[in-house]
Amino acid sequence: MLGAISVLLILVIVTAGNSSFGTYIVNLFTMPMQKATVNAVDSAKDTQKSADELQEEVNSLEAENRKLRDMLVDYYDIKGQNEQLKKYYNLKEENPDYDILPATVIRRDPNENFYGFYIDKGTIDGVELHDPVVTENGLVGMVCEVDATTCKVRTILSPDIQVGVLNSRTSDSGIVTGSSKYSDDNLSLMTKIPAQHTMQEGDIIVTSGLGGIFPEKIRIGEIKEIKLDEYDSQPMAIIKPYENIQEVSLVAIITNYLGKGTISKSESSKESSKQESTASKQ
Amino acid sequence: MERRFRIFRYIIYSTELLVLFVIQGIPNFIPELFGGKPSLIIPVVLTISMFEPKLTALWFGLAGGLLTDISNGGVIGFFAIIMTLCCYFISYLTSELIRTRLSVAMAISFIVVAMALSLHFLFFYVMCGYGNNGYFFVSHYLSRILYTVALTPIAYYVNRVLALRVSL
Repeated sequence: MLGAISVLLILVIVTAGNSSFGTYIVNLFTMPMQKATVNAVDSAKDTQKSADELQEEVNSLEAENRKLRDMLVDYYDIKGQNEQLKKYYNLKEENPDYDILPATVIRRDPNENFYGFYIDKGTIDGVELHDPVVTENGLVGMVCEVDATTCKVRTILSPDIQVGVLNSRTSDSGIVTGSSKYSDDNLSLMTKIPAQHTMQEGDIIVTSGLGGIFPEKIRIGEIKEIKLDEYDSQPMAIIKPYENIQEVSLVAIITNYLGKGTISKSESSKESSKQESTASKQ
Repeated sequence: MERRFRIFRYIIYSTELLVLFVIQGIPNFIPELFGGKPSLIIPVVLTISMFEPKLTALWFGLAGGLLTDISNGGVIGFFAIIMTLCCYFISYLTSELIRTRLSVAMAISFIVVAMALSLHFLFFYVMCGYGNNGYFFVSHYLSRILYTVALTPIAYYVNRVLALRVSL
């Protein structure tokens, strides 16, 4: 009894004279207990909510969750579109006159012989017949059938396509087309090469822009091998396209560019000089 | 009551055709074997015609053929005509002359698929003058024919269950 009273008296004296030290000592021992009791009281408060209040809280949290999930779906969708558009940013920067429309491969028919495919853009998106189809790696083909919402792409592996091309190093011209013999290996052929060409393996082949269907200087691939045609002994080159056409899934359509549908100036000047010479002879 | 079951069965067949039309076109979904991918619709319409009357088989053959033409692009009507005639004939055969069994289904499927794809090869490859006919037929069409016929048992059993269970 006397001991307890003496301890209390000491505490009073100490805290009266030096309240900060005393407060510190008291708080040191009581703070953990206070914290625990406050937490217990707070959690007890939640259990004191009525069932209706809790249900309302659950409903509002679920609604918020749904809204956030929708926003997340939009976010991933926009992120995907952004990634797709980034790929063609360089192409657009180099050629500001191009109208580029990204598209996704939606269907590949099992009876398709030369790896043609369908994409999810059509006339309502501004796609027209014979529009070139590219990827960030190079030319893939051109639109051969189009309807309102989809179109079919004929690839450069098909013998039905013919692309006027140039060798970027030597400027030798030619025609790139597909071949039934090489299409399975994702290879194309370059034919109508001048007999006095100076091309080598590894040269880069680009579109020439002649004919007004394909814009000029779009990469196609590189020369894998140069040999003579087995039927007419004309030189031909096997081209390895930069894009894996058999597995491509994202492409872009060039719906408009400067010079679309017009013959190039060099061709038109040749034609006009021919017409003048025939007129003068008459 | 029988009519209701029949209509329900036709709805299931139609859904089956549409789903398979979508699935066979999904890029890189069905694995390629020896350079060929199967046509999923053809074995299904052939097996449907084995369990249905002639007129029904004719319409489903037409629908399946049109779906195959649309999937292929280009000329509409090539597979439609072939499948319409074949399905009508198969329905007549199985209702009048031969029993419907798996072995019969496999034989019929092989004959029809080989004929249809060979004609497709003739009209859309040989006549276009692409060259390398023998190589291309062996590397593309033969594998396509065999792969398509190999899926016939699945189509047979599924449509057999539908024909037997969804009826009076």
